[in-house]
Amino acid sequence: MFKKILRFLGSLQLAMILLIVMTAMVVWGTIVESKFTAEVAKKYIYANVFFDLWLFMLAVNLFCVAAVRYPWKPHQTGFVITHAGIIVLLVGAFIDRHYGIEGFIPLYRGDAPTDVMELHEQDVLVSKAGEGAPARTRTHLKELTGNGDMGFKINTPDPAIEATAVDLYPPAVKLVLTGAKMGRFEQWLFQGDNLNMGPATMKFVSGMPPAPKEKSKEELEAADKAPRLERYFTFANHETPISKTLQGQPTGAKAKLEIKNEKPLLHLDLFDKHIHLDVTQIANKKVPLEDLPDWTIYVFGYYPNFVMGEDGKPTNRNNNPDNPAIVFELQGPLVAKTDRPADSEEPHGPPSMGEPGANALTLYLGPDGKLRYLLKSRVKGESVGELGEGITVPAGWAGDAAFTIERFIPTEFTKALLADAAKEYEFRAKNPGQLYVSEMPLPNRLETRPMGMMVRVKAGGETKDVWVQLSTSQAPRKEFVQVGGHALSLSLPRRAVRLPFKIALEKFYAPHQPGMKESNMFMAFESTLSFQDKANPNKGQTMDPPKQLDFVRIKEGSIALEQLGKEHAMPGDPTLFRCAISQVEPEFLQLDFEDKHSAIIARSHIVEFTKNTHKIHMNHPTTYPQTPWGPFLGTSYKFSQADHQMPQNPDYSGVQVLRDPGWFFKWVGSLGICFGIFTMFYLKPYFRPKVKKVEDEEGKKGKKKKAKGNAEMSHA
Amino acid sequence: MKSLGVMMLALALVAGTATTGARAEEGKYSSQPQQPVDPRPVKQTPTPVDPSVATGDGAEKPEAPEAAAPDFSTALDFSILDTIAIQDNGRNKPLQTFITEKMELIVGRKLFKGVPVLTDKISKQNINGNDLFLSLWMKPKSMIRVPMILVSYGPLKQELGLTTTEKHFSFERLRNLPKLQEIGNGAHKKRLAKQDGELTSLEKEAEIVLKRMTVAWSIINGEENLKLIPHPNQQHGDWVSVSELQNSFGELKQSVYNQGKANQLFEKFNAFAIAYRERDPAKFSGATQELRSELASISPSFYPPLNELNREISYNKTRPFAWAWACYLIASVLGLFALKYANTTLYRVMMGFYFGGLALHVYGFALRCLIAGRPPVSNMYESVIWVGFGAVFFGLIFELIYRKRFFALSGAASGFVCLVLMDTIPILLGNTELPGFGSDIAPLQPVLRDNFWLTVHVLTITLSYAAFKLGWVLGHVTLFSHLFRPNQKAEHHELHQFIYRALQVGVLLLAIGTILGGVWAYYSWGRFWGWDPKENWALIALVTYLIFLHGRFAGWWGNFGLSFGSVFGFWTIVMAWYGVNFVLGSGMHAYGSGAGGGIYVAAVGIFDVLFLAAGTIAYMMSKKSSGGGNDKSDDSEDDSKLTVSDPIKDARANELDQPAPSAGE
Repeated sequence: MFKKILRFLGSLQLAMILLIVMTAMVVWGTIVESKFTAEVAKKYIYANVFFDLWLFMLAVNLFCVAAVRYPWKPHQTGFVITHAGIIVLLVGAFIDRHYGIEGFIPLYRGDAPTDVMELHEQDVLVSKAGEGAPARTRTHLKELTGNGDMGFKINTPDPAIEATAVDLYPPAVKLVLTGAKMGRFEQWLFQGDNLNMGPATMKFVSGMPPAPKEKSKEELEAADKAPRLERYFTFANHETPISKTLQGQPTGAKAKLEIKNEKPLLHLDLFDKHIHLDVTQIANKKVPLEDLPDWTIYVFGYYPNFVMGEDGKPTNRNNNPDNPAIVFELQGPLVAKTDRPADSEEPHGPPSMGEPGANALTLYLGPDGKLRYLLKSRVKGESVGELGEGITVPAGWAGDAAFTIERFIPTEFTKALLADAAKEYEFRAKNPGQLYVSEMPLPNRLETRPMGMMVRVKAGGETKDVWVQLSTSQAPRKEFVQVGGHALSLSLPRRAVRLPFKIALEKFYAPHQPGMKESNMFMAFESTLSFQDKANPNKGQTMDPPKQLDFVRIKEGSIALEQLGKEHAMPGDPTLFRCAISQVEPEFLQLDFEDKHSAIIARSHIVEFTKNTHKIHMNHPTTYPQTPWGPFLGTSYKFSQADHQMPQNPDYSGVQVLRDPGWFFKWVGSLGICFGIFTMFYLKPYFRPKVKKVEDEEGKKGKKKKAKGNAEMSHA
Repeated sequence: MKSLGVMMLALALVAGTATTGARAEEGKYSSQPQQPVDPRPVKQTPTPVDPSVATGDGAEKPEAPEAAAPDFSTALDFSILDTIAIQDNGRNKPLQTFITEKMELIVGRKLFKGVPVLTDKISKQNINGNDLFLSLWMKPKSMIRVPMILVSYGPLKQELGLTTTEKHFSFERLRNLPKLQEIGNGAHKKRLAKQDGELTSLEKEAEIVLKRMTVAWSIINGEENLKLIPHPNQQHGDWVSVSELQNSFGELKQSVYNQGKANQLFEKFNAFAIAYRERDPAKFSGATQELRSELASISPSFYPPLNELNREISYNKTRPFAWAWACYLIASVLGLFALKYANTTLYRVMMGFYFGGLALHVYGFALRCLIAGRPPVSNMYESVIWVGFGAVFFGLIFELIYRKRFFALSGAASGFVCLVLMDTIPILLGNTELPGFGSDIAPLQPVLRDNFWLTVHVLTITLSYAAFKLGWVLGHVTLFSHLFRPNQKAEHHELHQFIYRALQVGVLLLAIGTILGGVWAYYSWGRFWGWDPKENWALIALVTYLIFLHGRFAGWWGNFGLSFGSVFGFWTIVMAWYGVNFVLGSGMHAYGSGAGGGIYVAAVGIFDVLFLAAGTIAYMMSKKSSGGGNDKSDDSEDDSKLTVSDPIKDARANELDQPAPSAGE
């Protein structure tokens, strides 16, 4: 009986059924993936318990096939090794599935080291205001296909409160801006959007708009006055800046830009005061000037390689500091307004940079389901009002611009939006001549919509829908709602775990393909990371000061000191250098400095060094902690370059983190499979006992009959 | 996005919305930007050519949209021009490559021709690609009425009211076809609405014609594309065109170039342009040489060395892959005869062509490696070339072992099919820029760069495709033999063994390659296995072949089943190789994506289904008539005549009796 079961489990028929069904499932999986997403395919097929069961059966089958042939003959070596290899590989996969970890860390240069790793899943958290821990429901937004998956229950802290997920798409509005100056401009806005586009910033949030501010006496008085304003255009390679007085009398300030260690420094002489400013520290914010109350500076941008753009605005040719320039404004005390319009340009004056955030439209979706707006205009001030489909409101921007709500989707979002997208497809196909002036057509816009979940909350006979937007575990974005007398807060943070060490981004470097700046083609993405052991923050360090980046101490009097240059040495310690050690060799170290200067220094010149940084780029990950056995056992964490936001954000890098304790089994199994197949195909003659041909023929014929009876035994 | 931009440009161009005219031909370059002599403002919008230029240098009627080309009979020596370097598409290449790519796009490619040639249908003279390019650039007035833009799609010509028997039409003529613009507009809108799948053939072909017009226009008017001047001190720096160099000396601008050096260059450039317009061979050669030296001297340490440029030029001009497929074709035909007539001389001649083809194939492949600085397996074109090589290589090895002609025939046929497809698709479809099938050498994406394991993984996987492809061709030979030579049992048996040999190589390499892919993925960026479509289809293919091998081993479907499997299984390879990128278009390997060719692949697929069905029926009938109930009968009958041992049978003989200790021991 036992043998019978064993033979069945080790039969070729069973193997065939297992293989054919598995192949069919995988084929189906790839089709599902191309129709939906990889996550959906994973959820329903590859990570499904039946698929696991199937692989388990395959392992059992492989085991039994080999087991029933025990003791093995020499010529079966390949067969045994191959089958054992597959089993070991599957064991490795099982270990990874249950004990492996995979996550993602978004890193920003300048942020404090973090130990929080985001997982690819999310939690829906519901808590009662001021009462205990939130109720948690685990979810995976990318695994949800839309309406079909929705309607799942969400845990709440109180049985009297019911919550269900009802939709994946947010409330949406189609806004049309029209005006003589700007033509027609279409834009879809989703709840949670915060877009900065051309004429104004546009937001769509939940709640009620605040009452417009009444202007105070001082403000009314101030309305007739304006601050003194001067705009400067300063170059590192030209002595004289270009300046223009926009309001009040000229100050006669002198400005000069200097590039020191690749850092732009602004030297400003104003009213006999000498002011030195690090441009990178003060860019894009109003900064008060020291010793000069009432005066502020606003630096619009730093252009390492300035050119005047086609639109007459300054742009950067590239990041090589070939022609560094900055544009800044000085703002002083209030003076009586002159008649000169703010935007008029003098022939040789610096260009108008526009005032950020002056024009803004915020849409509010109220708890009553109604749409309202808060409009800010530089010319007309603030106003609020109610909105609905077909309502047009003058905007007060760009001359006579007005906006109309052409479409408002307050419920059944997925259904309505997909139907609208389909209609838009059709309309565009049928009216190819029609001109669209739109930031993005709806089908494309849907792909960049804010991620989140519409949650329906029921309590005390009252029902409310709340759009809960995806956020991070560090800064969960909470939505507050009052239902049936309960004050609730809901949030949808990504799940996160804490790592046993901290990680920070020291440097991000993305050189573009030669001649391909415009098309944003990059040659490489390179992050320099530093790690800090939480249990033992000074582990592996022989010197005192360093926390991040690497440090090298050079022998006193060594010629390497000159090679590195005084400007790279730590202040007060001419033999200590702070840099990233990008290469550690027995004979030398390669040092990279923050100003892109790099040097190779022989070990004989080096007293000591600490290395906290790890450089990663595509195909070149790093591991931490670095142990000799880590790469073979998979016990270390692996960090790979996974994401970037070039060219918008050169200080961001996304790092994928992986730890696979099943790795040892995987590669041993893989090696077994390859070696086994090779042995079976090409080495078998050497293992085979020499048999006379005639006997062989006879033996074969005899066995052939047997094979018919139990052919399942023969597969090897 | 880039293609959209190009489309927009084309549309703007055809719609004729801009105001400026073509630049003056007599324009000279100088470094004095204040002087209004610069005929080519950098920010010039692409514009249609001013009709008044028609009175320029031809004697043709102003309203005639087509006219004969000026006289090109004085032959100029372009060999030095070829070796001037240009930065284009993220790479520094010889001008010869650039000109060939652009001119082939405009006038179409010809078989075995390394340099595009246009036969002017009016003046009947042959215009060489270099001449065509330089005349478009230096004297556009005379060229916009010369029929040179290829319109190959018949229905489009009908739709536009063009003579269907003619192939080339002038820029001027096409520009004045509002219908072409209309169709292009429709296509553009569909692309904007992400409905690429609904583009009609007419629209796609119209887009190609508009693309050709845009490229022609960019040479006529948009000199910015010609980045001939190297960055003075950076190896990977951005190069600039002559007018960009000129503009770099403006007010508020810090040119990285030396003003004196630039002035010398402008002088040389003007001399070159004058020499070309005058068509004085000696003067032209001298001026070209001086211009080249001047360009090279701007950045002596980073200007591409002459030997590298010459290597690429020789690759372009010799077209090794075209000649290789011709050799393979001859070898295949001779191979068919060699099967019929056991003539040693015939066999030797055939093998001569086989070796010749392989030598050319390897030569071309090696040059491509050197030019690109990486193993060329980055897109469909390159992988098909490599798979062709693999099939020919394995065919040769097996042929040398067994000397049975079948391997040589199948190897040559595989090589021929792979190379001829890649070489002629641009000619047949009339488009040299099919995504994925482009033969131009392009830089790799960061994820594919400089990685040993990745290279080994891709080469191994694609080599397994080659072995399976060899098996596929052998499978066809076998089925053919079953269909038309049903009584040649010995031959069938031999062929079955050969298929098994080929599949062995394939299975081993596919298993190793797939696992290497996992190892690469684990060490480079992620997980060992991620259920990615490409991985999945490699697994599916492997399991499919294993099913056929195991079934054969168990005696379920005999050797014929294996032949069947070698043809059927190859379609899982096609799916992994082509389908994942071109049909499913999802997953991590999507950077190899492209479009097109689906109809042709499907046609071969349908043919294979019919062929398999016919072969199976023929096999069944022959089995019935010979009275054998067991499909293995064909194996055992002719054993005595066999010169090839049956590895499967041998293995089975040794292993069938090992099921369990109880089975008789």
